[in-house]
Amino acid sequence: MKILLVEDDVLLAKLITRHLSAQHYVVDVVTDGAAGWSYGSTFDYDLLIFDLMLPQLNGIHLCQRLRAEGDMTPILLLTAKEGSASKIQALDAGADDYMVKPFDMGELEARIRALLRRGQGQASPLRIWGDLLLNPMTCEVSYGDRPLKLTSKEYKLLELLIANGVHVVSVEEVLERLWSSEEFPVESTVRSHVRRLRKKLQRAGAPVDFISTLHGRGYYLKPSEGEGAMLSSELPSEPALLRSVPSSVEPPSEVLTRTAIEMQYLQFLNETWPTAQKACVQEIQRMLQEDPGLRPGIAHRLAGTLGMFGLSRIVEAVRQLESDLQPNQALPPEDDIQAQLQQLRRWVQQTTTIAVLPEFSEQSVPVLWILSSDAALNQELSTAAMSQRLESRSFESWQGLCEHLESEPPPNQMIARLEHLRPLLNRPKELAKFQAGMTGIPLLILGECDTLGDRLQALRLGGTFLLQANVSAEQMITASLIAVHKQSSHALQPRLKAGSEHLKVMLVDDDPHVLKHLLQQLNPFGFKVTTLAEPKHFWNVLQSVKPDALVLDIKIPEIDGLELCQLVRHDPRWKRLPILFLSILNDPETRQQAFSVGADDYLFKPIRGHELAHRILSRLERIDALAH
Amino acid sequence: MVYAKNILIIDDEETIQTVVKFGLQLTAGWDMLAASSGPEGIQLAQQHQPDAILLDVMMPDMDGVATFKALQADTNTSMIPVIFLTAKAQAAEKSQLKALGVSGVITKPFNSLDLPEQIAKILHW
Repeated sequence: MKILLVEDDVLLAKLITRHLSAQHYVVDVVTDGAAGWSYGSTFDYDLLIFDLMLPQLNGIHLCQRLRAEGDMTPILLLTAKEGSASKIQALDAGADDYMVKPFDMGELEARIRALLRRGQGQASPLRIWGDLLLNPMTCEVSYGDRPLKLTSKEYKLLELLIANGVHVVSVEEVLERLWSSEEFPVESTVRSHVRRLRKKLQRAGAPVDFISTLHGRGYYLKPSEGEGAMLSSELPSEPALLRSVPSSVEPPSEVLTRTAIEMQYLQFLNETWPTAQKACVQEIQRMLQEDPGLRPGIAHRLAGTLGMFGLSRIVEAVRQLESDLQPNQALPPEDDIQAQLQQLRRWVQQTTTIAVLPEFSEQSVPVLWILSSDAALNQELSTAAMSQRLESRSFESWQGLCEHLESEPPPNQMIARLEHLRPLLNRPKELAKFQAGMTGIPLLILGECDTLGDRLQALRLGGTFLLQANVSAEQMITASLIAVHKQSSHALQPRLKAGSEHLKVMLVDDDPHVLKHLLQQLNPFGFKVTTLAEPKHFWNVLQSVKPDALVLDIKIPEIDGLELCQLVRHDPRWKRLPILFLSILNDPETRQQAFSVGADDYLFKPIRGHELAHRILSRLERIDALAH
Repeated sequence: MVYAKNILIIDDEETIQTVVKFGLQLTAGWDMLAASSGPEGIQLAQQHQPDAILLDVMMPDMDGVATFKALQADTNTSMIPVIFLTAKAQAAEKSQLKALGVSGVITKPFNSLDLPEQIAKILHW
């Protein structure tokens, strides 16, 4: 829900904005009546809140003007004047409600809810759609009995979709409604929010198409069988078409179905494309040959034309070029520009058909975020990312990054320098937020030196360690893409063959007695055993011993076995090393955890030597078998 | 009485004119006039008094803003609502454009099938 607040008392405006934002309202604030008029008359709001005494144009006049224009948006007037005269004046001017300062924020919020409800003709404050329940009073959302944890944007998005029901909400509309006029998010942002919201709904048990996409048009909530009793009167059989034609618009004589219209449009685009394609190629040719000063203008038009055909990937590239070519900045080398233009020309020439309707194609460009203040590295990474068709964006500090992580849809992957993320380790609250925001997003952490400490920090930040010193930007991007791929496929990796005659086993346990005991028990089986009681030397020992199998205790002070296991699994050289856990903990949860971080086996203490030996051998045999 | 709207589009890009025309007619049955430059657009607006004008912001010679000001200055055309068409890259200008007094701004690229609804919504038709 979007609210315009016109209040010249800046402090009060801030206070109200803070309260309303906490309630998930999007608030635009202006401080004088004239600005109030220009905002109120140009943007769509769900509610207008005006102070009575305003510079330039007072609240009463503002009300009168808007009402005279036929604007029926609910208006709430705020004033310091007590007394029925000004109250009557306000209501007569067209205000719907009136509050005297100082007022209680809770009361203001309640009145806002009531006005919004009235504005939408709702009797109950609760929003219900099938099994979905949204409570604007508490900002809680549940599906069935399951509570949903939504971000502020997701909440607003869902609220907007419920308010529109089976009517299609366009991306443009979502942008308009969910972001204040000061922000300028791109459309892919909306798609990512929708994707995340869908996932959360699905996890709570909602059908996959609970939020349905009407390709090229927008999103709507799907009515489920026998569900929409309260909304049944609004359920048209062809939701999109009926909505797409405004009330005063006569559809063409025969009513076409939605699909038919879309098919016709697509066909038309395909018929038009050859001509447009030729023109676009000519324009690119002009950019290659003519005065470089004309290039930005041509690029701009080109983006507009290609956009009409929904060729988003090419459009992105043209836009990038347009911004690179802006005067009053350092231009890229001419050779690069020429190369890019030639590539563009190839892309345009290779596009033979328009396969999908413009916009809303779900496959958006994957986004990579880079956290690094090293401009040269960022440049290399962006270039490497672009060649892999990744959209990249860089941040210089974790603060900036976290801010965006909270307010925007998350990237598909992230590469961050350890030094920039390290401060988070001392800020548990921020770290938790960061990790929550990064759930499911592969994070590659670039370290300066290969120490256990750095690897551990990377792990605790939720990332995979990569030594910056020995890899190129291209390799970083490749590693990041592999991480994404792995996350989505979880394919069984073929394992390495276990090594030599003397199988090397490394045991890590903080109890020296246990180590001694196991060492004695395993020796007769021909293993070469290395024991380690100090986990801080783990990485060095691991690298010098190069064991064939690793046995880890879970509870180790400072660094627990689960973390060590992850460290090992995150390193390409060691990710196939058999790891067995040996612990006194025998609860299913810990076992589960162990397996989820990459354990191959889980054993309980106390254990007899031959049993442990047997388990290690059988693990190695299986790996051997898999390798062949 | 419901009647077909007449929309004037002023955009130097012919492809956009063509696609928009098709979309308006297909979904809403509206008529469309097209001009490729500001001066041509102003002339058509004076002659045909369209119900609304879609005006591209970035045009060579006389740009959208200049065209809009000229339309506003002429009593024959000052009452015709104008909606700016602007590229995503210029979204930052959206507020500024609205402050000029245009009825609305539509961001490019748009889907022509949605255009009638977008226009109707902006103009409260």
